[in-house]
Parts: sequence; structure tokens; C-alpha cells
Amino acid sequence: MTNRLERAPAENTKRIARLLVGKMPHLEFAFWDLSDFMPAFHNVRRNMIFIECEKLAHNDVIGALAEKPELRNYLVYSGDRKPVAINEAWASAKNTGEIRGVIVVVARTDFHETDVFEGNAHIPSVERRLVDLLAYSLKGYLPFTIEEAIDALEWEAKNGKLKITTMQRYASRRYVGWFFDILMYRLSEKGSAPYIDPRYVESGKRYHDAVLRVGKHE
Amino acid sequence: MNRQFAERQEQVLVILEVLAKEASRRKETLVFIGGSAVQTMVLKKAKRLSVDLDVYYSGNAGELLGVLGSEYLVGKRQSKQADMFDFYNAVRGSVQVKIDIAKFKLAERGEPYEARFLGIGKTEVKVATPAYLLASKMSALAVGTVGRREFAPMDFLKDVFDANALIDEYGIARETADYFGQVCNVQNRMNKTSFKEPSIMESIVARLLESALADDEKAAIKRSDLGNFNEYSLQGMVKKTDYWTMAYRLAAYCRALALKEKMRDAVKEIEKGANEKYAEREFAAMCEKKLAENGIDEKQLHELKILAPKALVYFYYAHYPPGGISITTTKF
Repeated sequence: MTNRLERAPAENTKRIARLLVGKMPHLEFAFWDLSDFMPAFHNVRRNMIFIECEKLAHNDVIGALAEKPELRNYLVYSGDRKPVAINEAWASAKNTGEIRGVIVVVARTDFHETDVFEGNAHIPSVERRLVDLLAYSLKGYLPFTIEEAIDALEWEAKNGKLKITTMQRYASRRYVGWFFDILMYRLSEKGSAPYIDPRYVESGKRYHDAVLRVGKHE
Repeated sequence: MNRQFAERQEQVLVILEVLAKEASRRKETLVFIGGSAVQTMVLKKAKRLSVDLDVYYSGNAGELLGVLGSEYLVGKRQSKQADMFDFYNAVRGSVQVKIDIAKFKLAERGEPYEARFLGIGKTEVKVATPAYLLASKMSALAVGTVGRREFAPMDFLKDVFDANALIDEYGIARETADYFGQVCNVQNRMNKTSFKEPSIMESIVARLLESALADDEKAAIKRSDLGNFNEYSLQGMVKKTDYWTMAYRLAAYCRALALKEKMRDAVKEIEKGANEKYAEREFAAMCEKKLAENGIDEKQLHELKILAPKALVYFYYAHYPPGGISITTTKF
């Protein structure tokens, strides 16, 4: 795996990771945020910090973060496969300006496609982060539109050579392989990522046409 | 913090001051003992509220309490061991303070107390020494042998908390082992039992371990008990993982206490493991492996390692004391 640590998350996110490494030195977790993709977004204003670890540790991770006064003004999502807001009542009572960001704590124990940051902390590759964004937005779990996820993917595809095979494999594991193939087909059509393997373009076209036919079916 | 409890604690100290002055006038000995003594006069800063007044008094308790007459409504409570204890309630307005007076000598040898000064008037009060208080708190945990008669979660939790606070501030003094033996003898005499130290230690460790099981349904101290306890807390919430660390630390210290002259070296090694090596991957893996070999549930061990790594180290030393032989804790 290419070392992508030069594309590490924002300083604040790294501080959070170091805090967790200190508090829970044996907890294996991955962390990332949206800072890399911010230039591509249109409506996402606040950074979203993702912490992926086993479910057992969720409450303690949230508790450890809540001990830091500066991390108390975050909207927190937590969950197994479907993260839900756990402090929604608190957030509803706040002005939007008072909510500093979003922290998402999700149950994951799969740390493939990640690089070691420090101790047991991992940073997922850009490919994995992009697919995760697609998965979350497609399933509607997080306040994040599918258009924003596609913009991030297109922006990264234009600016760097993404490992499409890795992404496709990971997308299949996240049950969004078909959707990923459609996107590859569309990006290829637009000329955004000319290096895409024709196999994905082919299957993507098939899925794309099928979805269109379903849409037109009466 | 609960405001009612705070008012009660304030009254504990007011009554103590009055009683200490009166005891001195009568040339009798009054020694402040128990959780209130630990929290209000022994620790530099109280960590929890304590609302009862426990003292040892060498004279006639009824006469002593007469001094509260005009200010308080004093009533006697029933005592099952009237030759050993006198129990009273002192009520002023809406605040009631329980006063438990021990009539037996705190130790067979020596005077396990020292003079401290209370309040603005700097009233001299005799207070049990940290070494004695720790020994007495540890022995109270021996439910089933020389400790409390029945397992009451809140009392057990307070004893665990106070013992840890004493260790944090004073460490474990050489005299603690001696006082522990003396307190056990006194308790044996009082209860007409003859438990020996090894079985007393074993009962303490067994109670501590079952109190801190990871599975809340099976644990003798449950999350709800911690919720109640936190009403007394003056320093933030005590979480389940904090409780594991405190309980397993005492279990490890109990093993060290049994090593007598090697106790202080053993304690040093335990603390080194818990404070310097707890984050080391190899060390934690070794603790986990050896405990699993000892028949401990792997799920519990994993939970400890992730959520409370220091507790895992203490748990390890409770089974493999430094310089001692490995011990399989049986149900007592």
C-alpha cells in the first residue's frame, strides 16, 4: 500500500487520535476526516471526524473525547453499521454556530487499506475514505449528500492516480460495488479519470443502463 | 454532589469538634475513625462526602453525648453488640447525623492515632493514622470472614474508594500489615470467630474480584451502584472502568500484604507495572495470556485490556503476585 501519511488528517483530528492512543493504548482504531476533500465540497462547511473501532469501546471513546472541553461542542454520531446522532437533543438546543463539528464513532474491526499512524492508530487510505463516504451517503446514515461524495471522488480522481482496483474491491466489501462501477463509467465518460480499467467501465455501463431502464419502466 | 449530603457532612465536623472538646475536658480518649476521618481530616483534599461520624471513645458515650443536649435532638439506636458499639442519631433541623461509637481498643499494641487540628478554632482532634485506616478499610472488605457482616454494595464501594484514596496519598506503610493483623484479631474476638490471615486475604480478594466482573449482571457492584455512589463524589464521576482499576489494585495489594517483609518491594513492582508498563503491547499480551491460562474468561480480559489497561495489570498481579506463587482465586 502506498504510504499516504503525507495526506494525513487535520491537526485537530490528529490530536484526537493521540488522545485516544494515550487513554486507550491497546485499542486498535482508524481515524480520518474530511479535510482533504474540503475543496471539492459545495455545502459541507464543518469537518467530520471519523473514528472506527470495535463497538465495545464506543462509550469509552466518546467519554474520553467528552473530557476535553474543546470537544464538547461536537455533534456525535455513533453506531454499529448505522451511526445515529446520540446527542441530537443537545444539538437541537444549540445555534448552528455553536456546534463546532461532527464526530462519527463507528464499529469497525477491519483495518485493511490503512497505514499505521501511531501505536494502534491507523489512517485509512484515500481510496478507502472515498468509498466510505459513498457508502454512508448512499445509505443515508450521515448528513452527507451523494452529490458531495461524488464531488470528492471526482476531485481526487482528477488530482491523483487512485487505485481503482483496490477501491472496487473495498466497495464490494461495503456492498456498494455496483454503485462504484456506475461512477467509474460516468467519470470515464466525462474524461475525469482516463486511467480507469475498461472492465469497470463495462460493468458500470451495464448497471447504469439497467438503472435507467428501471427508471423508465412503467 | 448532593446538597443534603454536604449539609450532613458539615454537621459531622461540627459535632466532632464539640465531642472532641468534651472528651478532652473529661480526660478521655476520643479517636475519629472511618470514612469521614479519611475524607475530611486525613486526605489533603476530600474526594467524596461522608455523612456518618465514627469514633472510638474510652469513656461513657451516653454522658459524652449529653454535651449535644441543647443544640441537637439525640436518640439512641439499637445495637446488636452493645458491649462493643453504641449507636446514636443527632438531629438538628432537617439534618440527621448517625454517630457510631466503638468501645473496643482500636489496636492491641500502640496508639494508632495522631493529633490533627479541626476548624477555625484549631480544635485538637485525635484521628486514626493513615496506616491504621487503610488496614481497617481493607479488613472491612473481608465480607464473610472478619469484614462487614453482609455485602452492601454502597459500603463496599466506599471502602474500596477510601482505601484507594489513602494509597494514592500515603502509599502503603510498613505498619499497615501489622495493624491489619491486629484489626483482624479484634474482629475475630468480637465475632467469636478464628479466621486466619490467609483465609481473610482470600475472602477479600474473592469479594473484590466478583465485585468488578466485566459482565454487569454478574458483577456484585453494578453500574447503578456507581450512579448512587457518584452522588457523594466531589471529584467527577467514578466510571465502571475506574472501579475495576480500584478493585483490582486492592486485590493485588492484598497479595502484597500477605508477603509480609517483601510487601513494599512487591507494591513497588505492582505500581511499576501499572504505571510504566501498562501501555506496552508485549506486557499486556503476556498478562492476558497468563490470565487466560489461569482460566479467566478471555472476553473479560480483552475488555480490560482495551478499556482499563491498568486494571488488567493489577488483575494480573492479583493472580501472579510479584515474588510470590501464582494463585487461583476460588469462590470463598
